[in-house]
Amino acid sequence: MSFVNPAFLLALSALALPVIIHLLRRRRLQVVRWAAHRFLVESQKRTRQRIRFEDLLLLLLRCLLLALVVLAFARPVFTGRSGADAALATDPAQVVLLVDNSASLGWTDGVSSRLDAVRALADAELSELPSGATVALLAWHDRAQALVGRPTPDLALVRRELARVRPVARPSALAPALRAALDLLETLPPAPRRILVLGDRQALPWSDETAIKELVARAAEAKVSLDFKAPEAPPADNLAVTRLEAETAEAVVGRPLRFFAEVFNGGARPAENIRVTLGLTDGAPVAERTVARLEPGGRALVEFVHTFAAPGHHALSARVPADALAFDDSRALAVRVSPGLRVLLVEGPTTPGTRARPGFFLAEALAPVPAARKADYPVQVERVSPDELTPARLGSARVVILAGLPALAPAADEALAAFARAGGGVWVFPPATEGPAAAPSWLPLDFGAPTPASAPALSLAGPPYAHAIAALWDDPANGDLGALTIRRHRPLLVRPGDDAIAFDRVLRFSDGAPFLVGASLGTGYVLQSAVPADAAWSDLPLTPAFVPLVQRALASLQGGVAAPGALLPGDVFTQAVDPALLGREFLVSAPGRSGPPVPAGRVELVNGRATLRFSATSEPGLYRLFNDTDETPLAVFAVNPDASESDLTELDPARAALLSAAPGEAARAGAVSARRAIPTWLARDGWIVLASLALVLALAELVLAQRFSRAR
Amino acid sequence: MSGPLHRELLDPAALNRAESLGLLARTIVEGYKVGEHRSPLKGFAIEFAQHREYAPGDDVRHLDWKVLGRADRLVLKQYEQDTNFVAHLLLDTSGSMAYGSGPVTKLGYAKLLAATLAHVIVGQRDAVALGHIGDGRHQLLPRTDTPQRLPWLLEMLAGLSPAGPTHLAEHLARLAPAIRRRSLVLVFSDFLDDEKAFLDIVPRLRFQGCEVIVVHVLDHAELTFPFQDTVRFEGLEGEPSLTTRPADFAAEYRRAFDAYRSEFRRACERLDCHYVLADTSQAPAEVLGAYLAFRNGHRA
Repeated sequence: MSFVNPAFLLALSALALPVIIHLLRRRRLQVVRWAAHRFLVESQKRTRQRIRFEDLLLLLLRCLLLALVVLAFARPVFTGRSGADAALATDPAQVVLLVDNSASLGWTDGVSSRLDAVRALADAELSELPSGATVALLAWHDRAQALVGRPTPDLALVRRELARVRPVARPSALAPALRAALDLLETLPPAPRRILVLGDRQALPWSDETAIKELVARAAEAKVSLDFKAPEAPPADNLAVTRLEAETAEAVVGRPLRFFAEVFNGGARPAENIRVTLGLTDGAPVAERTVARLEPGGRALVEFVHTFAAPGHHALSARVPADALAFDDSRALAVRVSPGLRVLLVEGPTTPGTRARPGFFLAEALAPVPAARKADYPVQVERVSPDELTPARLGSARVVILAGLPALAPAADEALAAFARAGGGVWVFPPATEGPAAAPSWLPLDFGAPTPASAPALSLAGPPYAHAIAALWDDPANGDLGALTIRRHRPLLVRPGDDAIAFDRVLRFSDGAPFLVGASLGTGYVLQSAVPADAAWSDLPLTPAFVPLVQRALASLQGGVAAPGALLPGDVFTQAVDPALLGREFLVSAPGRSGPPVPAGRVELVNGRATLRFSATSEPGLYRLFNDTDETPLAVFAVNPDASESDLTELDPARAALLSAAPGEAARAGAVSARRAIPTWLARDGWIVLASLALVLALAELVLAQRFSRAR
Repeated sequence: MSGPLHRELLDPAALNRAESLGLLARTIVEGYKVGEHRSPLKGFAIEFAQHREYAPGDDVRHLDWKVLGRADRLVLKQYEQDTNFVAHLLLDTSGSMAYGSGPVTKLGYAKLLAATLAHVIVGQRDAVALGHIGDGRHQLLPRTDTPQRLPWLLEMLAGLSPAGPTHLAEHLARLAPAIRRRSLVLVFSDFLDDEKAFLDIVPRLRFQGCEVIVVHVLDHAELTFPFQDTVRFEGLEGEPSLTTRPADFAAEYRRAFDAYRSEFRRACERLDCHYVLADTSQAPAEVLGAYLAFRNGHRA
């Protein structure tokens, strides 16, 4: 026997009440000096046995009545066995229902969604289960979420939870769900066991075939049968915006900024004349483009340009026409617009054989406008010598670039580390000299000796690029970084020791060695390059990719570390903030919720830093976090659905067949056997039996109490 | 009669009722009413009949001074006259008579009845002798036949207090020789001691020619047993205390008590005694009035 509401069993402690009342009644004493004692003794003697029996009977009835009421509220369900020596096969089946609630289940024909069809299928499966079968319910996308965490015979409960399942804008992967179901079943006592996977026929969740095969083998070993069922569905059309990003994470007022939106045809048929609009989230569209034709599975990158007129946090969204799967029709992006950006370019000695100083190309790329317009340009570059790298100068700069410095003075090294830890950006280029070059200790890697001049030239690895700085070149239309020629470089070497600094590989040589790496330092970000910034050892500064690379790196260095829109629904957003805000409450304005911002938490101390931490990101869209006094947001970020979920490519039936296994027959046989052991009405509605018994007992108690009191 | 004690004992309503109805002796007591019968008994009147030995309590006015002078003996002169009967009012003063659920105890109630009767009887120029049995002792006071002696009698009556066990039959047997033949004997008791032993003594009194009237003084609570909840009953005559829930056996108690009372009443009637139930919740006038009315009717 198990209970649907086991918490109600605590009420059994109320059994003490009738006993206490019984005892209290005996304690309330009145003293009488009495004459007719002998009649008292005789009468009491004559009635004592009867009274004691009647009292005990009433006490028992009342206790039993109370216990039955409590048990009925706890809703017991009887699973029962056919006998003490029942074999495994006679136990009722334990079924884990895995219901797909990934974003693709939101596809609708205008009347009902794929999830509705899956729910109907699940309901039909539940109806066909024999009595005594116990069912657990897990909703799955790329994670498994337990809705009914332990198998229960209360199918009404399972149906209720099933009705509450909603699509989640996250990708889908079957392996984690299968693993969770197996983990659950393996904790249960031996019985016929079955996992029933219900979902749409999307191929995506089955992409990790190796893991699925391993889990199927594990299921076979544990004698767990596997089934997959999906409702029939017509071929679906789906257009999606799968990517939206700005050329730089932080824009500057008055400076045109390029945005790139990727449109994907995840449907089964070609799409034509696709209108893509870019708009401010709270306003009208600001730009529109049309994609002439997109084949199934095809992608197109659309470019927009927009200039922000005011500093602060801005939000944009790219949108395609609404279709049957709504979750991916638009994508949001948060952009921080700053009034201007000051870069301190610290240059070493002039490289032998060149006439320009090592930061020449960098200075031009940082402010790529004619000299007459440089004063008005949002990025202000100050070129200084190593001696001029003072704390005062650091205080006014947002980004520091070291170009061609063999080493740093200890004071400067310390000041620069503190600058980075406080949120500044630092980019270090090695000198193009033969001598040694020491990388500061707070950089993730050390500079090695320069490669020989006679060594063959190297090129960079091609796409895909994982880092946001290089993501622009994922689209071949934006150029090819692989065409660069690097004649010499200083290898970036991992320092010996356990306390290695974690780093991102922004760009790699074609042989896999790091070319440009990035790492977080405090609240700041540092970049380390394997080649100097001038044209002595490579043609990088001379290629068209140099300016966008510098600009994108600059965006990362100035604070836009995280790739915009990288948060998936359910992910946790964190951002370091001013330590003065520590402990203060912050408010959130979330998508789909109108009205003023509502309290969302407090600024916490995480790893020694005041941090905004916000986890209620279940809805895709734009989130704004405020402190409790200021109307200017502390942070604005976008939560976007996973792009892979937009691909509705149908599942290959051969893959679906992976889940068919023999032990399923045993489970069904066991369930049929259990049907004979426990009647359905008792298995599901045991509480009604208890409630009826309680009613009968209440009546009996009433009649007996009346009768006994009358007899006295 | 004066003083609060007397006023307390003499309920005016009961007194009026009793006086108006009169107290009639029943059979053997011939001189129940002056002038109505010639009494064979010797009283105190004009025609000398005989002498008899002086007994304490006799009026010294009737001493034969001549005999005293001649023979130095205390004898009384007795005359043939319309004489009165003697009523012995015997009160049970055992501990059980201390019970009272209301403002008056059973003994208090018995005292009230006895005082009323004494007043009426003496007022009829009949004699009253007060006796009490309780706490292992008994006492029969000298009889009184003059109103002047009534305050003394009431004083004695008021001084009685309940204590100890009863042993009513045993002490009544000892008192019997002192009880005048052919007198009226009224026994005021709750008869919770040993009523069967008492009933064994009654024939002896009847043999002496006495009319025995059993006044069964009971508290209303003893008749109805109205207790609820848990009660600790403590015995008034040394019985061990008993803690119980009376409601559980109230019906059984009432049934047993009614049976006892009915049986006792029938036994009294078999012995030709009048049985009077004196429920302390009733006004004494009602109890006496009802009995005297019954007695009057019975005689007629």
